[in-house]
Amino acid sequence: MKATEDRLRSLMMQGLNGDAEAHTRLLRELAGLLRGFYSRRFGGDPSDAEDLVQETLIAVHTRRESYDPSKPFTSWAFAMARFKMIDEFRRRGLRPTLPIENADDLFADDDYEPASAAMDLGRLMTDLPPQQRHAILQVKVEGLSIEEAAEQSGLSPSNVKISIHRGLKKLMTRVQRGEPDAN
Amino acid sequence: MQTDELIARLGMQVRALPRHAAIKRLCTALILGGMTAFGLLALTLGLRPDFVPAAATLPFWMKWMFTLSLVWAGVVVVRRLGNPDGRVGPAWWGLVAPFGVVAMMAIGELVAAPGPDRLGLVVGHTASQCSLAILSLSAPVFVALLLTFRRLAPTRLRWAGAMVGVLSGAAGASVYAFTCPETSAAFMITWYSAGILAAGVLGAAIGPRFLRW
Repeated sequence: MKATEDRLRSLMMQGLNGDAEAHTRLLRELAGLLRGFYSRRFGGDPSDAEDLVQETLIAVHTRRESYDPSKPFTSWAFAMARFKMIDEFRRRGLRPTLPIENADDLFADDDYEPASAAMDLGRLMTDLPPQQRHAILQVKVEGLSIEEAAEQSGLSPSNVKISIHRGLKKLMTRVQRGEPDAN
Repeated sequence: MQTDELIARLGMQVRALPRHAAIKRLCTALILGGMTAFGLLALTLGLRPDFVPAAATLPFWMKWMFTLSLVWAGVVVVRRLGNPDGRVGPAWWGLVAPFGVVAMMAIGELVAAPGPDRLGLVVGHTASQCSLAILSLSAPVFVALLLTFRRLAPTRLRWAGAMVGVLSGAAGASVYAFTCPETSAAFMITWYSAGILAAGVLGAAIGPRFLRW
């Protein structure tokens, strides 16, 4: 992410100096990043995400005076993206939800050695409530189906789903908070 | 519209920005708003009649030191709140410190004065008009600053509104000082502060409606 930050920042600085080509390249790269950002958070409808991508790009363009060159570029751009997203949730009268399907991002299996991944996971999960921890381990790590997990733990299937959902949400916020390049 | 097409269009309207463009724009707004406020003042209350002789006295300048230091800190704070990360940091102290200093001076005055004179130091001769006049004079500055925010990206709208209010209140107070004959710090910390803070409260109340983007 450091490389992305450096590249985008230098494009931004060139754009601020009047280089239209650098500015266009900046918006194009940003569009890709924002698409990922929004579709991860909205899950479903790609056209919603695309509207927000466009709104954010317009804001980045028209409000570029608000950028302070002594600060990182990506945190500036994504602070705008977050504002747009919260605004969208408010407009719809919804609270942000994280679809379970997308939580697979959390368990990056190819980038890390399995052992260290297991350690990280263990460390992250230690202070989850036991019911949530079990449910996540059974379904997401051991690969049981919801029904199987429900049978083993004596909970109802919807209870297992809720436990996984809540647990993952907690993990997600924890991971995001600890992730330097998200801010 | 397709996103690619949008990007191509936006890319056609790129101009070079001066360094510190946001600060410069805020200062331009302050000057234009301040000049409008000064025009209003000249048409209504007029300058104080003893303007020239008073300029040789310390209290005359003390008022501007108070209000202009608030303006200066206010510009920094408002600029930071115009950044989407909304971090203000130690610049807050720049807004708090002038109130602290004048409050200390006022306490010193009141302690030194004989009992019967104390009320006079606080109320002066113009208490009934001061705060309201400052609030009214802040209005054109407030509008000018809000327009500036079309180029900024506030995310803490309530705070941004409040601080735009405080900044325009401080600018309004700087203009009001042209007519104000009062000399005591006790008067200033009471009625100037009330006008400036009222502008801040009003800004917090109506700001978010205009600052949303």
